[in-house]
Amino acid sequence: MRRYPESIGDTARRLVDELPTVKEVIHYRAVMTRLGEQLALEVFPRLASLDGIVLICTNEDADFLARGLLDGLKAQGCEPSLVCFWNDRVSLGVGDDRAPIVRRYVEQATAARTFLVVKSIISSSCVVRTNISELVYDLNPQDIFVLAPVVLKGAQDRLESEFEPGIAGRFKYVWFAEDDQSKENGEVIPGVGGSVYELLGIGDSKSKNSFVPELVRERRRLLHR
Amino acid sequence: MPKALSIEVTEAGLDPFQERGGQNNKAGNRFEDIFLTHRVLKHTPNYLHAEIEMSFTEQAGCFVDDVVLEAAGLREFYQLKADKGITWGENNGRLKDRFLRQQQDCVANGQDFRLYVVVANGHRAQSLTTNLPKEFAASTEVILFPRLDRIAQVARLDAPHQIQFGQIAASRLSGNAEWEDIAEAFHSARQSCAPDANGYLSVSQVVTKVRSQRMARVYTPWDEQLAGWPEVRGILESIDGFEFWVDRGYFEWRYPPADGGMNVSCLEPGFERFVQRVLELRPTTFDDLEMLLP
Repeated sequence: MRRYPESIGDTARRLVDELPTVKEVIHYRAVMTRLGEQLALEVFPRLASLDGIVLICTNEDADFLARGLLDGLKAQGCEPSLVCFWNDRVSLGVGDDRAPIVRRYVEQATAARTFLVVKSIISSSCVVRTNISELVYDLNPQDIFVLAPVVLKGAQDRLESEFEPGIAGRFKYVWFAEDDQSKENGEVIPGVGGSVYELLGIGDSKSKNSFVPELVRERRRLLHR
Repeated sequence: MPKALSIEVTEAGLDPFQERGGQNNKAGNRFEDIFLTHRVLKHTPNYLHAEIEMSFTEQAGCFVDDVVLEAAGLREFYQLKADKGITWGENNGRLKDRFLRQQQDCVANGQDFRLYVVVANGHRAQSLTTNLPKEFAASTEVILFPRLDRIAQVARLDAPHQIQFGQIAASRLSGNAEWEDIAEAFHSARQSCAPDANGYLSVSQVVTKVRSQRMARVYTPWDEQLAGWPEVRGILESIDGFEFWVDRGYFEWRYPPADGGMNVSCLEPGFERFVQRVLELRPTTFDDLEMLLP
């Protein structure tokens, strides 16, 4: 069963329902980018300040969902710093996965006030947990927004249980659909329609880490000018 | 590996207080479980950098027996008490008697030893320290150790419980998440390693398991003996702004100010493939190198 937030707009609902049905890579990327723009529209009014914002994404989401979010925020005059992580996946046992960071692109952010952690889907919350945990104790943001088009029911509780109450209490969420079913392999139904790496055309869960987002290349060029 | 502890005690059942401490107490078990993994992690830099082994067991069957450690000939006995009300004198001096008898046992066996009572409550630690019985005060210490919900929290402990994760991790650049991964991996490996006939595990067993099953990325000495590597090292050193390290057994790199990574052990085929590709394509800029990076 899929559940939507009461405040969801028509466009966001249409896009999040369309996503699992899209099979062409170009079309899928476009829908994901537009969902990023919709997340920007939702989160922008909730930002306490336009300063000290750090957008945290994974390499598979950077050019699409995160790009849409970034462009949507820029249109409102907001210029976040970018952090992009490449996560591997390691299993320590049943239901005990870790997502070590194997590569990173981290723009310096002094006085980070707000984290915007964006991911195409949050189910086990393993990747999001790792990426927040890597930065939160050093940067100590006041607000941590977790943004995803689709979440699996219970993901918020699982994520918050991994942090001390003082950190977990800063979490806020923006999502467009909450699903309550998943397959044995963890794939959420209907979720985002399957393996997001393959649907985005950047390989499987291993080979996707060879993918360097154009967003990272563009922003790096600016740093090295 | 240390010999079995106090055989006469375990076999003859001479300890009237034996209760296989805390097995019926979930919170107590978690306290012990996390404390033991913390001790293993705390010792691990000594093993990795100085080859000092440590063996350990739980519920050893002696008088002070929740955790027993042995390293460099010193045997340490720990009794863990997560409850707030424990005193030396409660239950007709049960705790006091355990420590006294453990001390007598160690002295009789000529062991080099230390005794510890570990509590999670500051007032309790103060009270136990203030009232430490003089009979074993010289060999006993009270430790205040925090009650943690998850093993990952040991990554952020301050002194005196701070763990030198920087000496355990293969990465010199990574932060809290990597340290949490290492803590989780050691915890999981410790719980799943098979003990010897005396019920003991060793830090080397845990490290070996973590490394062999790639549960986390742990410091591993590498002698840089790989065909083509000296030439590749020269090629990489000539790339403007690019920095790299292999001295912790992994290929870690940085291209300041924003880029960095560590994805392959120098002992894995993926590193050999990287060396070969660099030899073939001879990158001269980071842009050329980027697509070759493992």
